[in-house]
Amino acid sequence: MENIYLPHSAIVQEIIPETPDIKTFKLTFEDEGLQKDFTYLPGQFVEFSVYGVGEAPFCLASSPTRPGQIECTIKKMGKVTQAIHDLEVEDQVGIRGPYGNGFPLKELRGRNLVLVGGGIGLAPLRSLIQNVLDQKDEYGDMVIIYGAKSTEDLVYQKELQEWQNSPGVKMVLTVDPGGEDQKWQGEVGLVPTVLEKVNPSPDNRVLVTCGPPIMIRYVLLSATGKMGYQPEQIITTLEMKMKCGLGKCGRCNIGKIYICQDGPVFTYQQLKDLGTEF
Amino acid sequence: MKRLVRKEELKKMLAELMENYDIIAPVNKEELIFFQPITKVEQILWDYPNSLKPVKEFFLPPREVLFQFNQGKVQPADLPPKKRLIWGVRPCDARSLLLLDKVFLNENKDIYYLEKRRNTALIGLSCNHPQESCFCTSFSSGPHSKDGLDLLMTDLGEETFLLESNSPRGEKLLKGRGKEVDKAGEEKREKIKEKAERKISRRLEPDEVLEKLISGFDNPYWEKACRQCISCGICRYLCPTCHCFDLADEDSERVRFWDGCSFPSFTKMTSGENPKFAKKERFKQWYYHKFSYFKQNHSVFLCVGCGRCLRNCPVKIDFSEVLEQLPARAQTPPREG
Repeated sequence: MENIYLPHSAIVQEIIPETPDIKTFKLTFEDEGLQKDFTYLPGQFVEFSVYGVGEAPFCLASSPTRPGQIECTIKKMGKVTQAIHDLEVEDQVGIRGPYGNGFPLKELRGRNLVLVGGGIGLAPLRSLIQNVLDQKDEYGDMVIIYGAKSTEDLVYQKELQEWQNSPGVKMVLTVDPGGEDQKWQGEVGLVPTVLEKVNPSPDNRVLVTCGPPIMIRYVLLSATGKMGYQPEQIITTLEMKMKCGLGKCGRCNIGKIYICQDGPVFTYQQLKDLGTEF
Repeated sequence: MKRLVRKEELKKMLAELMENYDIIAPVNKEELIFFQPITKVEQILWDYPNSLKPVKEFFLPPREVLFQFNQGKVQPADLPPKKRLIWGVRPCDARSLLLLDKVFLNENKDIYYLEKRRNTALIGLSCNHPQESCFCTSFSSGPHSKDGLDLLMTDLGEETFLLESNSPRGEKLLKGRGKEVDKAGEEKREKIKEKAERKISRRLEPDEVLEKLISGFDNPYWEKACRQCISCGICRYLCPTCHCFDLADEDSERVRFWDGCSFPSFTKMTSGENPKFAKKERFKQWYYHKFSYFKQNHSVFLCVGCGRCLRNCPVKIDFSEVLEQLPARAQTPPREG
């Protein structure tokens, strides 16, 4: 019988420094069969082990439409992420998953999208963006609004340019006031403010937002306020302390909902339905 | 199958079983009752108030090695090969395992828990002397319930026990022992059962509690109710149904530890954010998990009424009273934002 806690051995193929404290890790499973069969949805996450140090959950930043490897973008925050940042190419790590519900692709098909990201919150959105770009015919237009504290805190810098140049994509980048440098050509201002300024029409559109909780809070307010989005048109991801990823260890619940299994992706309407416990 | 078995014969049966099973049974250790592996039948207690710790530790140990990391290989820890038999487990604790099964034996089966469950026979002992803190009858159960047991023993007095099987494994263990149960035996057992049930005066109405909890999440009552709590976590650790755990690496091992919602670290994220930092939130989580969330997710309350939380709280919080005193239909101001 399968051991649900058993990590699968994976090898670090490439490490891309994104910002002073964020790196992207490209991994392949050691087991070729698993590498071939491993599939997932944008928005799902894995438990990433450094043997002897520990395990922590990270969203998959890559897209299942680009098989061959999986990618996680990880910010140095604590013990496990420090150990991950110390990894070198060809090092062995452990991966189990994927876990969580992922973005509701079926419901996004045929719709226009506006993706609103802040900081490392672009990681799960990148999975969705790549997925949409690879299946362009199935989606409407896509507006991407992405911001970080400063120009050097923007992740996926090379890819941002590719997205900008893709047909049907409108991208607006912003940095917090004071975070711009002389070459900066994007916006200066907080993400919710820039979102209001760009003001993509809610017609047949879904807004997906990931980022720091405070940013999400104001994005929800802006979108449902003047911009006229309905709560069921807005999708976000929640973050909670997680250990098992399987709804057993007991710490990631909001009310009766377990974020690791029932989430991490929710519509704003679903969060409202959780009532006072959210 | 039901049989009347003399105590002497039960002792012989145990001695026989010791050859094939590791026997875990209640013993007296410095005036406290513990379940632990035994090697001699004489160590066993035949009449005792329920043990300090529940038997969950034999299925979900406080510290359990899941894997060993050895030069890049992840080796799952060996599972115990010898069969185990827990002798004298109380009906409330047996029932708690059925509740834990809902967490660990659902579609994502936990092999560590499963193997121990599969490997362990449960021989219960009816509870003839419930304590003031007991309230098992509030959960459609009782001091003579067979739920979750392979075999239930009831002490009829005069060195005689009525044994009743409740599974094929129990039937096999009982086959050929003692003699048939006569009418007098049945009647005696029924009387003892009723007497035991009558002794339980503490009562909770779980369905009413659920309703009150659903409307009372923001009730200021919780501020007051949690004031005394020192967040020591003993109620969580001694609860037979609390099962929250942590996973961590120690050198070359991945270990599972008991954890609990009374501790601020339980929900603290690496970023420093902590949605349940406030004592009130941690205090509530326990009640809501047991009487609201678990019920909504699994159609059953996550409590067996064993009373350990009540008996062992160092600041004497009366757990069932906290729920009883929660006001019905709370008047809460509308939430902003």
